[in-house]
Amino acid sequence: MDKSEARKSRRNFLRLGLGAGALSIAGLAGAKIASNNDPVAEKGVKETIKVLTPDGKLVEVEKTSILPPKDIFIDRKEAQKGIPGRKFVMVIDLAKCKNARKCIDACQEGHKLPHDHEWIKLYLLKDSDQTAPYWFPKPCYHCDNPLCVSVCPVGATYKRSDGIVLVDTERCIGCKFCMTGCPYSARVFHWKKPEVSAEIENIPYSPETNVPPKEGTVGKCVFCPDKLRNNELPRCATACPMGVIYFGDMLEDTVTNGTETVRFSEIITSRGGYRHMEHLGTEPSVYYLPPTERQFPWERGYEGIPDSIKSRYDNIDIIKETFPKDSNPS
Amino acid sequence: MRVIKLILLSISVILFSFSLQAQNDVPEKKAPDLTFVVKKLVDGSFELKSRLSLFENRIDFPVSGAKVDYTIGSDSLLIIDGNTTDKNGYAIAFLKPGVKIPRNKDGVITANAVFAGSELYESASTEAIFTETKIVIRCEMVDTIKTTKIEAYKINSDGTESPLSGEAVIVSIQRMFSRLPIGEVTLDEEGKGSLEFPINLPGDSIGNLNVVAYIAEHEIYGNVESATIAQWGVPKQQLLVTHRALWTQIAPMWMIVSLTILLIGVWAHYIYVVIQLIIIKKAKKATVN
Amino acid sequence: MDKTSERLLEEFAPQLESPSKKWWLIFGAMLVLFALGIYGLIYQIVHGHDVTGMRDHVVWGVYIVNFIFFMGLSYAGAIISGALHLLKTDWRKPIIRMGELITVISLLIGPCFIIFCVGRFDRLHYLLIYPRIQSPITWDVIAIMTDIVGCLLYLYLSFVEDFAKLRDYAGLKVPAWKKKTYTFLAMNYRGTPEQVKLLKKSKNIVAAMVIAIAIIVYSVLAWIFGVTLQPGWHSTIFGPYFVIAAVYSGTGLLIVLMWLYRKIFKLEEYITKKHFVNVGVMLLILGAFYGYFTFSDYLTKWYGSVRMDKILIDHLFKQYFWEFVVANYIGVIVPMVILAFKRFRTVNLISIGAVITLISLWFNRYLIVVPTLETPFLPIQDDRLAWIKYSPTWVEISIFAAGIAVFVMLMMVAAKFIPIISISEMTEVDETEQVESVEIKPVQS
Repeated sequence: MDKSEARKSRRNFLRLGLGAGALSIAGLAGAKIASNNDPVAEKGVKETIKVLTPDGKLVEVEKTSILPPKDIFIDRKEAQKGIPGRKFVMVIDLAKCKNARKCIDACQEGHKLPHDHEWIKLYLLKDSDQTAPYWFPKPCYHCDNPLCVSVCPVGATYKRSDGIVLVDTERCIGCKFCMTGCPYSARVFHWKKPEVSAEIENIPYSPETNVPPKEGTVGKCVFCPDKLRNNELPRCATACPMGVIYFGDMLEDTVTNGTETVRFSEIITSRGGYRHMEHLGTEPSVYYLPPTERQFPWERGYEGIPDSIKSRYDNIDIIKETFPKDSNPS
Repeated sequence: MRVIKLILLSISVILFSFSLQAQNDVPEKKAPDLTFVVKKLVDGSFELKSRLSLFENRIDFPVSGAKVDYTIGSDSLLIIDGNTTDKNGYAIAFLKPGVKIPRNKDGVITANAVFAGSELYESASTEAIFTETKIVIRCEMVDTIKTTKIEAYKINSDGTESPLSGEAVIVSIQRMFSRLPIGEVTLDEEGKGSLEFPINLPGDSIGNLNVVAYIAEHEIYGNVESATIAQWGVPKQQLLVTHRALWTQIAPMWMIVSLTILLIGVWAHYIYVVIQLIIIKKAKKATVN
Repeated sequence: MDKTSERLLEEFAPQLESPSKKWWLIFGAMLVLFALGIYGLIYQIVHGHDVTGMRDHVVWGVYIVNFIFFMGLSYAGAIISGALHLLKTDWRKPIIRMGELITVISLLIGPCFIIFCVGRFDRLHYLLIYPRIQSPITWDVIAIMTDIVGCLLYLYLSFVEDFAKLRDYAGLKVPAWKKKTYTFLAMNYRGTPEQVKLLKKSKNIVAAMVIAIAIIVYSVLAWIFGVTLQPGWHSTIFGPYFVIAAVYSGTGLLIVLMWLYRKIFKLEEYITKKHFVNVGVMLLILGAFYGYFTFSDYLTKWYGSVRMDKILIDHLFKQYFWEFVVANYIGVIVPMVILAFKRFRTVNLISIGAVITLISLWFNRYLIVVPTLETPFLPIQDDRLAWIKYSPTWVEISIFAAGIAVFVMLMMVAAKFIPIISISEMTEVDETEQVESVEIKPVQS
């Protein structure tokens, strides 16, 4: 362990060592970690703090150098280790979703996804004749028993200790077996060369962001681990105007949608949370809260969207019944 | 004569219109929005956080690289060196604890954030007016019940403290992304209150919990928080790590064994046949039948 | 060299001489098709998989269908020649080489379709460097490699004696390079008792292995579908079902080839009606099993009330009605009728039955792969409407045609290299037979 530490560059060493040291300080003085802001040198005085290095030395460093830089680079090896001590879980409140699609927009923008390649989709599900339709955001479920991971022949997709299932598009051969393996149709494919700007092409690749995208490989929702490492919520959770998506660490028993923070066990119990198609045995990490006490009728979710998006729902029976296209009888 | 006057008039009209044109080429400066929040942190320092943004076409654009300066007070001014806004539009400065802050006779502090303006943007300034308060949080056992005790005081102009009676203080646990509220304490006339602590909250590996008490966005008292560590949580569950399963990188042992046996069985026969062929090749030339 | 062997050589040697004009014409036509396929492939490489009909839901299309189909054809050769060899049936002799050639050639073509379907075929070697043995695709890679080696070995073992005979035949009018090749490939086989024994033993070993491997390989292919949860694929019957369908399709192809070579090389004396009838009876039995498995699969899906099964069967009958009829009704009933009634058992009709078998089995594969992907658990929504139904594009069809063209070309080249009827087989002395009287009696066809 020490040998490999020594081989890393000094900057990396300082970052990792001080990160570890800072965490140990945090246990003693939680206040410093409580505020999530960059401390800024005030009045020209450089604030220093004492930290312990892995070999037990006490070193005084600038406060600014402790917090990890916002854009830390995680390579394949690092990406296979999860964020330690966490088990991420998402709770989606179907009672509040009205197909605003801000989650989709934020995800597309944040991961620089090409136009026809979406990691989170919004379905309009109607379970049976007499039950009511409801809007259903569907990210990847990061299952605890992932079939997609079992069938990958080259190990391009893997599940980490924090529960997140990632795809390493530098290993992926594009056989698409994982896409047929996923019963929730959560994965999508780059069928052609993704159109991205030159500056994005030059970003070093990390499986945690899947940027830059690669032709002929599989992509899917990754629970934004690059954001999680900075203690920030995934992009879809932050973007939702209705606060539909709650996210958190199950071991901490807390989920939040940015405005409201609740205990995971409480919200699942009180609202009757469930997982979709539980009988398939994949053990998803995404829970749904049933659409009871709805805040508005489901039709608003269809009326409010632009026509180009409306056409994506044209094959659904309930849409065809409720919004018949007079000009185009089909 | 009249012709000359006409020519002079038309020339001046043309020149005037040119100058009007030139004025139209100067871009109009946009008016950004500046929000400003002052928060008193756990260690007694103040965080001055401002955000510069532009609201255009119903979208909020952060303005980065803009210098924001802060002043506190109205008569005597305390000037604090500001910072430039980051890519999200935020600029943060800190005021160390113990610095003498000018306040008026009622103890009210007026803080100002000022953006001086630039080529593209007009100047902007915002005020934050609050009275400094202090929260003391203690976690102790009261008759075998885990209790969190809160005391809050407001700081007067002469430096004395008076209890913050009737105010509500939220008690929460610091979590990864946010704070989990566990209760609200209404302070009595002495500015004190207490809360029974929930018993089955997961903590860190030894059960530590970071308990934060705060007042947020109060009209009079602004934002203030205080924290303490209580080892009253349940130790965090350890994650079970599966090493060999269908979905791990290393296969279950029985799979590896079966596959090896099968493959060796088949390829051994192939090698045997190839050896036979080699023997055939090396056979001595016998009489041809 | 005994008389009959010499006589056979005399008769078959002209097949190996310079190809005729007609040969070049057909070869040229196949080459054109092949070139079109290559063009389509290059187009796909340059423009991305966007040019195919596959999209996010139907991720496996005509390429995978062809992969399964060609792999299926190969097992016929393996099982028929392997099984018939071990059972020492007499009438296997003229057709065994054709069977083996089908095996090897389709084994070489089938996996190529995987290469075209894979998104990054510049990374195919990862399958060998970073294999995960829990994945059915890894099992498939290992199995196919083992199978190719086994079948090539078996093919070569069956060639050795003929190469030796060709090397020794004085009247062979072929260019020097060809003679040299025969000498080299004959591996110094002289027909000594020891060599004969070794060769026989090797053949028996590999014949037995090849049967076992063929069954395992095709079952692994079936399990690629069977282990997923998709409605329609998660069926316990898939292993045996695929194996039977494979042998069925291969037998059909064997009959077609018998008919073709018989006509081209005028082999009526050797491949008689009796052979057609015998192979045809095998076709009948296999067809019956195929029909039985198909019926069993669909009956259990249809009868139970599981919603996804119901949606799939509705989809099959609405969108794919004619393909379904061709694949599962015509493909089963027509060959059975032809072979069940003595009146219909003519060489030509049996061959037509075989062609129908091949076509219906291709559609059967298509109906297994594509409709399931069009009816996933979560209905296809919030997607482009154009992606809901799959239809192959010209790129996929041209590559499919190129695959067939390559098959024909390789068959033609093989027939020019070695007699399509195995001389050594025909003159082989079985333990149960007499040493004398190996004369071929012409039978009225």
